[in-house]
Amino acid sequence: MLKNIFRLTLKSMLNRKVTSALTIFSVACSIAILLTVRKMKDAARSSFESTISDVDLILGARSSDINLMLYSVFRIGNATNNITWQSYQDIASRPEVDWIIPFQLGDSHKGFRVLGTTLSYFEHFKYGKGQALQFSSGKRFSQINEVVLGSEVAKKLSYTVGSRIYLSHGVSEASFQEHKEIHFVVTGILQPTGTPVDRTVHTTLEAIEAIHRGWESGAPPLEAQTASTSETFSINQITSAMIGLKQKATVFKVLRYINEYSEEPLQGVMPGVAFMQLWNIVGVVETAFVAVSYLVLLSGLIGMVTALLTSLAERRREMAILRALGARPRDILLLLLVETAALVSFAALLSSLFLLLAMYILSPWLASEFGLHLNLTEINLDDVKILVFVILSGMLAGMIPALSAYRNSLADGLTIRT
Amino acid sequence: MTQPLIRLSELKYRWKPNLPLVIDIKELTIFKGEKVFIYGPSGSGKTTLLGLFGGVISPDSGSLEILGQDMKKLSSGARDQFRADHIGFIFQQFNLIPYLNVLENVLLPLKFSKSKQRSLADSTDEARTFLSRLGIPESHLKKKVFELSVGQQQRVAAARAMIGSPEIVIADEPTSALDADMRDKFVDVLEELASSCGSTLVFVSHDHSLSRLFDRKIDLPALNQLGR
Repeated sequence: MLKNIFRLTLKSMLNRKVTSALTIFSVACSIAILLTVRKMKDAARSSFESTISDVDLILGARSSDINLMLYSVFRIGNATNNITWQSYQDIASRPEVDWIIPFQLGDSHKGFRVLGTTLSYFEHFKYGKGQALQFSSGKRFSQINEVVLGSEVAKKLSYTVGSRIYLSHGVSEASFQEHKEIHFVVTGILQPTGTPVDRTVHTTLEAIEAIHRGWESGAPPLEAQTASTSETFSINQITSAMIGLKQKATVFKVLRYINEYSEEPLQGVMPGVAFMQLWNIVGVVETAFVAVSYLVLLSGLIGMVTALLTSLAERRREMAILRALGARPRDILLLLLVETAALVSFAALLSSLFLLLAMYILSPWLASEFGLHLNLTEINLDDVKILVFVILSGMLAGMIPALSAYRNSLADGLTIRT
Repeated sequence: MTQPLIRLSELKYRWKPNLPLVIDIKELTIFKGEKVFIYGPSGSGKTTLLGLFGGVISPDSGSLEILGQDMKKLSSGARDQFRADHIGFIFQQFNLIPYLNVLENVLLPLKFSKSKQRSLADSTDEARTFLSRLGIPESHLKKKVFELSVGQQQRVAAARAMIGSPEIVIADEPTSALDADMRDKFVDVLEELASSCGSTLVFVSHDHSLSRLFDRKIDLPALNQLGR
């Protein structure tokens, strides 16, 4: 019997192919929107959390956890203050500290942030799931006037190993003040990471000191000075640092030492905690997007129910004929339920195709524009769960026209109404 | 002596408890193999009576036996199955399912009844035979039903009602959409086909002129003692 109902339903849907196809298309679009938004959300979150890895503490001048996180990890905004090299040394020499990477931020090159650091950066900086930085060409900097570029910097500005550049003062893209003291040479280009590293110009701490010689007042020195690579520059201050500990369990001890450091106000942040605080803020937007996409799904299903209810008026005669041939009212109910199940199932299938297609087209653009590396080439278990949920809620919505047809067929009996 | 096929006595029915009676019949028996004409103008309770015969509704009081089965004892689902197994229907017009072709329409009742299905060695063969006897050419079998004339559509509906040789065939105003000269012809083939299938034909119409074609005539307004 069920087989017959299936066959009747499919033939009936084919008979109304334009309406059926449009219904499937509109429901498929709303499912695809839901799937895409969820994918983007997941990708955003994972790319957000995989910006740094294996870092136990971030050290900076006292401000807020989130601010410290934003400028040191995401290169967003600016440090409120620097910390002295002496403080840095004191923390670095703690016995619990395994490694430490100093960060000196505040300059830029054509809109890309410049990060002054040491070779420790290439040694210990990890992203994603503990991946180390890899060079796509060239090598680490070894001299004061050498820079290593993130992949995007090199790509956008068409730099290769050996290119010569100037750095600019401040972080504005339209910075007028160029540091002409040192002509930098590109020695290496990193492989893409999908993190802010891709948009960073890395150089030595000494270089940052060198280009700021005479800028202590905050303005360019009256007499231009040039620096030579043979000079040595002592480091006075840095912006922040990333710390790895020998034992994770000592993190609170080190944190207390930092926060109670008496020479100057310092602050330590555990990345996990700060990530969570940040995500609580970003998460509102994310939730709003998901909510909207569920509303789109709802309106898609309402559209389907409307189309089915409209078709019922035309199909009342058909139902009465089926009843006369021996169909029970519950067969009529089943007929409509099978139809909605078929509609949403086709829609779910189509939406998966839409999703794959959209991702195929969009993911290179998202990666290059936003550093959002989406793992979208596949439909995962979560997507399947969503699809099952959609099909079930579609069938639930299908109960509306199905019950309406059921009631009609009980009332009409064998009477053909038109 | 022929056996009674439909037997009803003291049959009463109203749609809702507070509405007046629409059926109030003392006695009616239809015998096996009869070709009965029921004269039923609108408002005579015709629709309700056919609903009772078809098992879509169940009598409030009195008895209704079809093929020796007390219809009051059957559940609504069992009545639906009873209808599928033992009764064929022909309606006024647009009897056919628009998205099925001619042959599929004729074979459709078999999908709802295992007993009709079982009784056929080759159901498609029987459908072809019926259709050719009703003058539907072989070339029309795969056609969409709306490509056929109204007269042809009614004959396809007749074939559908007869397939599986149900004991009872109920025709509800099947000729009202046909021309006068086609009416007589349609009734003729219908009777002939019913005879060869061994089916009893119950033909309901408001058109008195057709009654001459039947062996037995029942005047529903006279039988149904409404308000008396």
